[in-house]
Amino acid sequence: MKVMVVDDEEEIIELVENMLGAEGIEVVGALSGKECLKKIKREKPDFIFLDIMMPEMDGWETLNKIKEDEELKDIPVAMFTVKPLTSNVLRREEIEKIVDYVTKPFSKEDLLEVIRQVIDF
Amino acid sequence: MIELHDSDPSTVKNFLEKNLEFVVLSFLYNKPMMGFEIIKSMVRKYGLHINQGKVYTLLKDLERRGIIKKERQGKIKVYSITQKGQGYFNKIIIDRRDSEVT
Repeated sequence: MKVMVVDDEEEIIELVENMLGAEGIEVVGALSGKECLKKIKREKPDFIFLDIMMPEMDGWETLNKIKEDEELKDIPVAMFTVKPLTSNVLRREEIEKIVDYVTKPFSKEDLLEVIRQVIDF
Repeated sequence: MIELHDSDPSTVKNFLEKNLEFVVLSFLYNKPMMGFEIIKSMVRKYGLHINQGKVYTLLKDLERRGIIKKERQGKIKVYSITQKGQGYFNKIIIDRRDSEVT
């Protein structure tokens, strides 16, 4: 089981590595949308946590690029947000492309719950 | 399904919190869905966002009681209503109808 975490804050990637690593999950980090797209085909993650607020290419743009790619489009993606998604955001077209979202700050159980909701591990 | 489009948000929120099981089962009665799809459907239908934790806790409870089950659909898992769940949901509808009549 391999999870990719895409966040411009290195501390978040380390935190997820510690939380999920303790559960035997391999975690691969990427500090930007561009780095994610560069690494993703090589790493072939089973699940992706993707931060919405990132400089240059934000989470939504990165998500669209992942979902446009035949090879990548079936990888489940959950977004990291700083606050619960509003009803307006939940009506966005991109929402149909994600399997869930996680609000920061999160616990290990929050992450595991979201993963367990959609895949077996 | 009860329509609440014109109601104020607090009325809708109260309705959803009190009838969460009924609302969740009514979505799953129509088609299998993953947990987040149920939340999105609630937003579309009622215009309100119910806490994910509440919905996921309920889904786990319904699964434990054999009312719904998880099954694989492609790469992801979705919840669907079981035969026992269909009977349970029908009984809720009948009970609600009876309580409205009396």
